[in-house]
This record gives sequence, structure tokens and C-alpha cells, in this order.
Amino acid sequence: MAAIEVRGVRKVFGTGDHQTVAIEDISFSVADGEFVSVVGPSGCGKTTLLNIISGVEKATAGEVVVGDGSEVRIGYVFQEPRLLPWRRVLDNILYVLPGRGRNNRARALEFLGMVGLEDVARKWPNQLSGGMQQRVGIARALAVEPALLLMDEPFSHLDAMTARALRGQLQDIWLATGLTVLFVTHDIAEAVQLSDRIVVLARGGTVREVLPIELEHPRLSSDPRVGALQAEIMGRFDDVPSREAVGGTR
Amino acid sequence: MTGDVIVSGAARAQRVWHRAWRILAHHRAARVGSWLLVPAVWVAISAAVPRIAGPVPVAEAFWEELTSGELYWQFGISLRRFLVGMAIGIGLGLVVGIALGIWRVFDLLLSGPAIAALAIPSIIWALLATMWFGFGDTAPIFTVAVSALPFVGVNVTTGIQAMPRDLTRMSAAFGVPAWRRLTRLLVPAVTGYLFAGTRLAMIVGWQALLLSEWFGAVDGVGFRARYWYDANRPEGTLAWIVLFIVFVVLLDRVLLERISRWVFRWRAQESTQPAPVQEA
Amino acid sequence: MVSANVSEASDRPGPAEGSTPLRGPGAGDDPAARLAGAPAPADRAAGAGASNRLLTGAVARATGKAGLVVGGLAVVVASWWGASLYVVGTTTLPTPAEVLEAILELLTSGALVRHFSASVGVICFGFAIGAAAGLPTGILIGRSRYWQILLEGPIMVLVSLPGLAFGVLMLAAFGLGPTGPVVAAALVAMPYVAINVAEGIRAVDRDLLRMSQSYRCSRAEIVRHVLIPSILPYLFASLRYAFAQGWKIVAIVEVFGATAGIGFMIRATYQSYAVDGMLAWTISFIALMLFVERIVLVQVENRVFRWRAG
Repeated sequence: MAAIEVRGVRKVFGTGDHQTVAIEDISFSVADGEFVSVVGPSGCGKTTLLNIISGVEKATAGEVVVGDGSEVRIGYVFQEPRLLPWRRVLDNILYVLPGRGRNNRARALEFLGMVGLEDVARKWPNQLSGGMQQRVGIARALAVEPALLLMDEPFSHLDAMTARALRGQLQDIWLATGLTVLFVTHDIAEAVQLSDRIVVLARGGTVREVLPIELEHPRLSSDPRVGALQAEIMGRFDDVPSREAVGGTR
Repeated sequence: MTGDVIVSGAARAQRVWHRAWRILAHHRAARVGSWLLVPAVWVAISAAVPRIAGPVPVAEAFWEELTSGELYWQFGISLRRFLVGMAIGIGLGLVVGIALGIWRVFDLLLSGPAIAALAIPSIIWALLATMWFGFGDTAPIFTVAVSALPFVGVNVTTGIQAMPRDLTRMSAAFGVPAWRRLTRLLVPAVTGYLFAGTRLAMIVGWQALLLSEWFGAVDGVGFRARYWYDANRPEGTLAWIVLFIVFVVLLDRVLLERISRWVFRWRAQESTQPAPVQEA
Repeated sequence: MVSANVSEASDRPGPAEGSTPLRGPGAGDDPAARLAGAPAPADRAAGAGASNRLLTGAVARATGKAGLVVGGLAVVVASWWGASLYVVGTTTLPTPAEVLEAILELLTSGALVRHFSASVGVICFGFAIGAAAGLPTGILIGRSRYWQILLEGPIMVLVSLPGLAFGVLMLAAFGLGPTGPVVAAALVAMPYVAINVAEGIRAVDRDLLRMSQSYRCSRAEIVRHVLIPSILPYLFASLRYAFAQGWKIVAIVEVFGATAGIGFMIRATYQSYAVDGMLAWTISFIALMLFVERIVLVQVENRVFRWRAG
């Protein structure tokens, strides 16, 4: 399991006159096995940050150190499931597993079981509901047995009931595996329920503050202390929207 | 000393090469290239295949036809047949299309045969027409009409069926009389598809005319093209084919495009009509 | 986008979707047109009265859908018969019975099979070559704006060539025999395939690409699991359109200069003024082509794209 060090990361898109600064300056660290949320308004560079950490994009300045610096396996869960629609569920998981071999199939089925979807292994993604597809995405991320799990607003496109259930499942999985999780969300209530610490970003890509959440795990969203903490923090950040503040489901 | 000259010569050559590469690789060069590619391929093919004439002999043959007056004469004959055939095809197509559009019975019964009719290649009509009508005007006119008819008919039917139900109901609710419903509602709805179908029918019809005249006429563009071919001077045939293509392109892109824009000026975004139905 | 409407190759014409400027005096085509959008709703147009509705309802209920197809056929055959007996005479227009007899004759003598397989073989072979040429071309055009600009013009010209031009040119270049039709089929298929594949390349889902990158999938895997399946629907669409166009042009080329095949037989019956033979060949030919177009190709597409069903 890996720790993350983000030091002075800056990301600029474009050249010359048409430059956009996606990330001004971000520094923070994530300890091995920690669950850290990154919250902030749209346009604060959350997705870009994840892309840089996962290696898909390169920072313009600054550095990101994951683990001990060597190649680390990373699982990535996106907002949309991003499943290959022309491959069955099981094949979607096999797609990201390195190499071939009998072991892969068994592994893939095992992780599907972890999210409770071993029955739909032979189905096409189109035959599944949004929530189920997202769970497959999570299974896929877990199947590579990553040291680090990156999640980019994974529940924001789901209805409230499904999101709640998946949050619970995510928490269980995290507690069972001890993965390091970096979880991007715009929903503070969600961040409070799940994380050890919350990194709050401001628009333009700077770190506003870092909040430790000192409740023990597992946390139930129905726990009144969780609710109180959520309300208190949300009150401090009027400009960072949360589900309850906006009212109703997404 | 010579060493310096050689080095600077090489350096200059490299600069020229770089400059040439940058010019060639620019998009504008691609645009020019695409214009040049077709004639270049033509020349290459005509060099490789003896019986296919290059642009120069074709141009000469074209000039010959122009100066001898054959161009106007034959083209006029073909054009006359084309217009008559199109008029018949469009007229009948309109009638059939409206019938199938308004009375569901006809549509259900005849949409199968309509598909078949759309599928029949114009060469077959051309040959049949020659067998039936001999070598006069009738065969080409018939071929044009029959090739054009299904395209117009199918598009008109689709146009009627695509009319938004709300408008019909609204008219009924307001008690709008049948005649006004016909002219204000039906006609504009149909016009778009009618135009699209006609445009397509013209292209098909013109080609059908050519085929029909090639096999079974004693005058006209198709006949004249064959005349050159039988006289073992295929450059003339190519000249007429090029003329044929140019005419269609001009007709479609210039004339019909303008008309299309005028007919659909009420459509804010594009000048284009609904894309036409060409296979059922 | 090219979607499940592939399988709606219904018996109802629907407006063909977003055509690109490619057009030309082919046998009526819109080369790069994506597949038809949803079929037009069967609306009642203005003027349909209540009694008309009753009549329609009664007829529809009485006969059912299949019955109507047969009914339509019956109407056509009946008018044909009438025209042949009473209007023009049977020498000009043989009765349906005579033509049917001729068809059976062709069938039993083996001529039908022989020439059909010749023509179908030509089309398949030519298409394979055209697709093989069009695929890399399409990829090139799809990925590079430079090549797109360079090749777009010539491709449009190729698409605009009238059937007669093909007929004459193939005859001039290759004389009599199967080469002409094969080359013609290849030349018809190639631009369709190229354009549609280019479209497919441009439409590849970037999210899936980025997902693959974040999981460190190899280039070969990405091509195999993301690129190729993304292109396949476009490829199929192009083959379907190319077929609808191509068989007509192959017919023309065969009329001009083949030594076997359907076009050849049509010319032969034409020259011997055998109207019944010509009609027999024509009807069988069109029936076969429609069958392939509408049933065989659609079934293949349905099988390949069953992941869409959802």
C-alpha cells in the first residue's frame, strides 16, 4: 500500500497567449492506508490532480511521489463507469488485468463477488443499471490489486439510495483491505462520512485547508455525530455545495 | 576553402529541404494537392491503359464536338427528354406519394412493392424500355420517368407521414376547413421532402437517360458517346461522360442548392432540406 | 450516431440521417450517410376522415401484416396480368405465369445458380479488396486532417462517377471478363469504407481511451479492445451502403463486358429480344439482392452488435 506526496504541483494547459491555469499550487500528503477526500467547487482542478497522480498527465511544475517512487499499481474509478460496452462484464475486468491465464478469470470473479455482482459476469454492460455498472467499475479497480485507489466523484451520477449503499460498501472494502484511497467529491457530507482527512481546494487550484475527521470507523451516515460534524463543516463553507444544501437528489 | 563551400552547400540544401517540407506539409498544400490528384491519376491511368484516353485527347474531342455544333444539338435533345421524363416522373410520384401518405391502406399494401421499385437499377429499365418502345424518344423518356418516380413517391410519403401530429390535431381542434388544412399544412410539410426527392430523382434520372440513350436511341448524349466508342475513339466517349458529370454537378450544387436555400429560408440554421430517402 | 437503428431496416422508409456533402450521379446514393434515424411515425395526415379510418382499421384487422405484404404483391401481379393480357399484349409484356415459368426453367437448368454465383462472387471479391483498401485509408483520413483534405476531393469524384462511366471504363481497361466487374466493385466499396471508417475513428470514445491509459493497457490491447470495436459499426454501415450501391453498378458493368453473371445474362436476353427471359433474370436478381441487403446483412449486423440490446 502506498503513500502519496504531492509537492507544489502546478498545471497549465495551452501555450503562449491561450493558457489556462488548471492548478495553481497544491501540496499535501496521504499516509499509507489513509482515506483522504478532496473537495472543492468545480474548476478547482480536482480531476486534473487525479490525472497527474495517476500518471495520465504530467504536471507543469512540482512533483508527485507515489509509494517508494517505483511503478505502483493504481485503480481508478471514474464518474461514469467507462465500461467497454461491447465486452461482457467479466471481460471488462479481464481487460485491465495484466497477462492472460486461468488465474485472471478466477481473480476477476472473486472481485465481482466482492461487490456482489458475480451473477452478472456474462451480461453486457447495457443490461445493467447505472449503479451496477459503477460497481463493476469499482470491482475492476480493485481487481488489479492496487496500492492506491483513485476515485473521481464515483457516486455523483447515481441516485441517492444507490449512492448510499455504495458508500457503505466502499467503506467495508476499505476497512477490509487497508488500501490507500484518494477520493474526489463535491459533496462534503459524503467526504465527512468516509474520510480520515478532507483536503479542501479553492477555485483555481490551491489548498484552502485540510480538515482531520476524528470519528472512528466504520461510520454510519445515520450516526448523529456524523450528521453534526457535517452540518458544522458545511456551515463554514457556504460556497462549497453539498447534497443537503442544494436539497434533494442530484 | 573547398571544405567550407561544400559544408555551406550542404547546409543550404538542408534549409531548402526544410522549407519545402514545411510548405508541403501545410494544409493549404493538401488542398491544392487534392485538386491536382485527380488529373494526375487520370494521366497516369491513361498512360498505363492504352484504351483510356488522357485529358488532352479528351479535350480535343470535346473541342471537336463543340465546334461542329454536335454538342448543342445532342445535348438539347437529351435535355428535352430529361425534362419531359422528369415532369412525368415527378407528377406521378407526387400523386402516388400523396395517396400512400394519406390513405394508410395504400401505404400498407404498396410499401413492399415500393421498396422493390426503388431497388430496380436504371439499366434494367433502360433495356426494357428499348425492347418495348424501340429507338425513339419514348424509351428514354420512359426510363427517366420510371427511375425518378419511386424516389419522389417515397419521399413525399415520408414527408406526409412525418408531419407532426400536434399540428393536425390543433387544426382539427380549431375546426380549420379541409382546404385550408391542405394548403397551409400539408403542402409546406410535403414541399421539403418533395424537393429532396426531386433532387435525388434528377441525379438518378439523368443517369438513367444516359444509359437508355447508349443502348437504344439514335441521337442524344448517350448515343453520341456510344458513337465515338463504336468508332474506336474512346476519347470522345470520355469527353461526353465528363460533360455529363459536369452538368450534374452544376445542376445539383449550383442550381438546386440555391433553390434549396430559398425554399428553406425559414429554417434558421441550415439551408439543407431533410436528408432524402433513397432506400426504403 | 450509428445506433441500433441498424436493425430497423424496416419496410418503412425513414429519412436518412445527416448526410455529408458527398453526392453524385451514382445510382442514387448518399455515400457517407449514417443510417436512418427512427422511422417516421405513421401519422394520419390532414384530410383523413373518420370513414377512412374505419376502412383502414377494418382492412388492417382483417388481413394482418403478413397478409398485407401478400396483398400488395397480389395487387402488383394482378395489374401486371391485366396489362399484359388486355393492354399491351403478351409479346410485349409476358404474363406473370410465363415469367414464372421462365424463372423455374432457369432454376432447374442450373443457369440461375451458375450466373448468380458468378455475380455474387464478383461482388464479394471486389468488396473485400475495396474494404482492404478503404480501411487503412479511412484510418489515415480519420487521424490526420492533412490527409483528410488531400484525399477528400478525389474520393468525392470517385463516388460521383455514374454507372455508365464505370461500364465504359472497365470495358476499355479490362475488356471482357470478370476483372472489370471486380475492379468496379472494389472502386465502389473503397470510398464508402474509407469515409465511414474515418468517421468511426473520429468518434472513438475518449473516456474509454483515458480509462485504458490509466490502467496502463498496452497499445495493442487498446487497438484490439477499444479502437476496432468502435469502428465496427461504421464499417458495417459502410458495407451496407456500399452493397446497396455496388450491386447496381456491378450489374451495369456486367451488362457491358462480362462473360458470365447476371448482367451478362440480362444483356443476352436483351439481345435476343426475350422479354420473358429478361424479366425472369431481373426479378430473380432483384429478389436476391434485396434478400441479401435486408435479411442477410441485417442478421449479421444484429449478431455482431447484440451488446447494444441492453
